[in-house]
Amino acid sequence: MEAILAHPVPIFALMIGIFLMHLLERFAKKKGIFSTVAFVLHLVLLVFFVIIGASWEEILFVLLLSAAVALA
Amino acid sequence: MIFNSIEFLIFYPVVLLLYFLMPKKFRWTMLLAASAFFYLYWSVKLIFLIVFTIVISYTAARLIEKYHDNLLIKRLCLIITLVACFGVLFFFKYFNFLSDTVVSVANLFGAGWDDFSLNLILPVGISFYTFQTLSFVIDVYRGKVPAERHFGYYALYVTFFPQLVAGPIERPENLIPQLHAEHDFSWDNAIPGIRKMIVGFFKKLVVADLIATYVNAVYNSPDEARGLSVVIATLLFAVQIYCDFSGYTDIAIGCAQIMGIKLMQNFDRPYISTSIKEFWRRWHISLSSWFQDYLYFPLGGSRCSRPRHLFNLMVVFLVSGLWHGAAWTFVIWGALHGFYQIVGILLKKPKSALYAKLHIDENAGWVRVMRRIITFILVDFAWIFFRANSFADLRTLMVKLFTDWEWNVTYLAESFSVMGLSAIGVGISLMAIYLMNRMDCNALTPEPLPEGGRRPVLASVHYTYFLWAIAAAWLILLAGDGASSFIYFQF
Repeated sequence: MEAILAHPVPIFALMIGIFLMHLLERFAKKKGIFSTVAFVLHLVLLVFFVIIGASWEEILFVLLLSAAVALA
Repeated sequence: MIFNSIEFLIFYPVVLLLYFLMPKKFRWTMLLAASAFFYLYWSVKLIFLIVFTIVISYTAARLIEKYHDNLLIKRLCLIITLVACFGVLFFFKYFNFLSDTVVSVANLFGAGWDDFSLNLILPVGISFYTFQTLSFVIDVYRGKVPAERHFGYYALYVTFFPQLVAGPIERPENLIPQLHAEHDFSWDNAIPGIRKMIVGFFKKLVVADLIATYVNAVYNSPDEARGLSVVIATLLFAVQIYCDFSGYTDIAIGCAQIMGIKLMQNFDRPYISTSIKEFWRRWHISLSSWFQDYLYFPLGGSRCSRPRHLFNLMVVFLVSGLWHGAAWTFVIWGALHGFYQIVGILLKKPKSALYAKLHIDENAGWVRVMRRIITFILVDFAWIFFRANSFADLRTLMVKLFTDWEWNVTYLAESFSVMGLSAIGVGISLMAIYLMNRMDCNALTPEPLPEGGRRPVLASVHYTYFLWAIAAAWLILLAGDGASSFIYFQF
């Protein structure tokens, strides 16, 4: 959890962004745009985790979180 | 070779490529060779047992068909097959169990016998392929299916690698015609097949194997566990065993589907069952239906007196317990499920009368939810007997479960630390379980493919995540003890 707790602001901001994109995707007519932006944000989040030296557990955690948000 | 190994990731694409490149007439030879290689990967010696079972059952089935009007020969062939196949199964799986039991009982009365157990290896998948061959011979005896004339196709029916070591226990009328049929590569088969495999790998590597570390911490050292840790570990074991076994089945079904072969469904969300009877219609369907067709019905099923019906049920569940493992803990597990069923039958009328008296609709939503919760608790309690390593451990676990409770923060922290559960571990487990549940719902009600088109395998974003998650979980597991074998391989 150290890596997550050390960078709460960007992680939290990215997660909120992803959640909003998925929310908009659900209601918007052109779902593809929001879905693509959300996917890119997911990628950014994943890369960010790798850059800050997160452990494999933390990376798995963010991947599962991404999938859960995508499916919510 | 296990599905969650690097070897399989090389083996399967090669097999698939050769399968579709080969002339259709000779594909069975390639599949048979691949299946033999898959099995030989464990042990070269054990292949002789499977060959013995195949030869005996094939010859018996041919003779039964040839002398279909001679009851004596037919019966003789069937009996010889049953004795030979069950004999092999009994010797390798139950000999040491029986000898240990006999010696223990004799020594209890002061006989002073020495242990005479043998150094035997349990052949992988023996319970599965024995049952599959027997279903073939019995069906031929009953005249339900014709005896397969081609020895190669019959050998392939028994050894077909996706389902060889842990099922589904296929029936001849489903699998043999599909092995004979010619299959072209089709995206309509390949995409759902790949997706099914991804779901299976996710269940096994991300859910079952990661949860297993917490479950093992408690069940391998029950003396150190606390009451709460036993409860959490048992709840997690219910998820672990489901994901482990249904994950294997999903991979097997996916593997076969890509080749154009449809294997039977083995699980149907068992934990949403509202009764134990329903649970057994949803859990390990191929084994439950095997016992129903070849043991329960021949015993008389439910079309007999009430005591006989209850006796039949108990026999089936005791045998089912023994099928799962040669240990008394498995027998008790089976007996417990038999007991649940008997109590369920005996209480059916009084329960309905009580509902009517209280003016409660038996099918009301809240009643169904309550029944689901009660069924899950009963099933989960029985899993303790299934998972316990020994009788001594079982006793310790039961004592902890019912007596070791305190209500303070230190106790709570201790219960979690004993299991090695950290905050991130809890987060990963909960999300993995949630996703697994979503995938199960999705897999049973798949979205229809677009008219005339095809959907790329990773079109849905979550499949991409699942693949990454599988890769990450694999790396975590490799850094630790490595990816573990499937629980049902030991049966």
